[in-house]
Amino acid sequence: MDKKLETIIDTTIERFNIIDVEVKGVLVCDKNGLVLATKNVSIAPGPIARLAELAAELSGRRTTVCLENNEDQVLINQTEKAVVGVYTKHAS
Amino acid sequence: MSVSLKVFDDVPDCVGYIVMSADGFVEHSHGDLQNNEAVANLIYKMVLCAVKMSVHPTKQMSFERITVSDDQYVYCISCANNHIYAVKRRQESSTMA
Repeated sequence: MDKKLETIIDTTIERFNIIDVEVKGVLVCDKNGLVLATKNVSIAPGPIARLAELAAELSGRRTTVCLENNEDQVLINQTEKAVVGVYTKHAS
Repeated sequence: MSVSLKVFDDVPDCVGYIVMSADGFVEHSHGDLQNNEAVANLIYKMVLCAVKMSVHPTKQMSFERITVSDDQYVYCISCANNHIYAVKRRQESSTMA
């Protein structure tokens, strides 16, 4: 895995921690669902990329998808080159 | 289908909603989402996809709500009683502008 990506992921997790959001895992994949980097995630990324693509079609603009239940949530965002999924504790 | 459902009356800033069966057939729709088959299809596909996903990075835990937000609107989607409920709301920041 790319060291630079890992450093960026670690920096991002620190930033989330500063605002008291506990990050459980991070996954970065491309638009086809190929994993580029992960941290503490063992779930297959295919549906993440697909959800991000469907959300972009739904809205036409840059969107964030949030799948949540009462305890956890995953935030999915699609950039030009990659799809990022951040697993956190639910913000309540 | 323009029968207004009471269940969405209390949703603030609601600009439209859609209620679908578990098979993807639209039962009620209103406002921006009224008769909008394209959006209904997309929402149905998103639910089918999200059902396979976990909200936890290592354990398999299913979702209760999906929220799709951009800078102007937010779609809140949830499932209950073999139906899919989706509501389109205006984002707070755009109402302040």
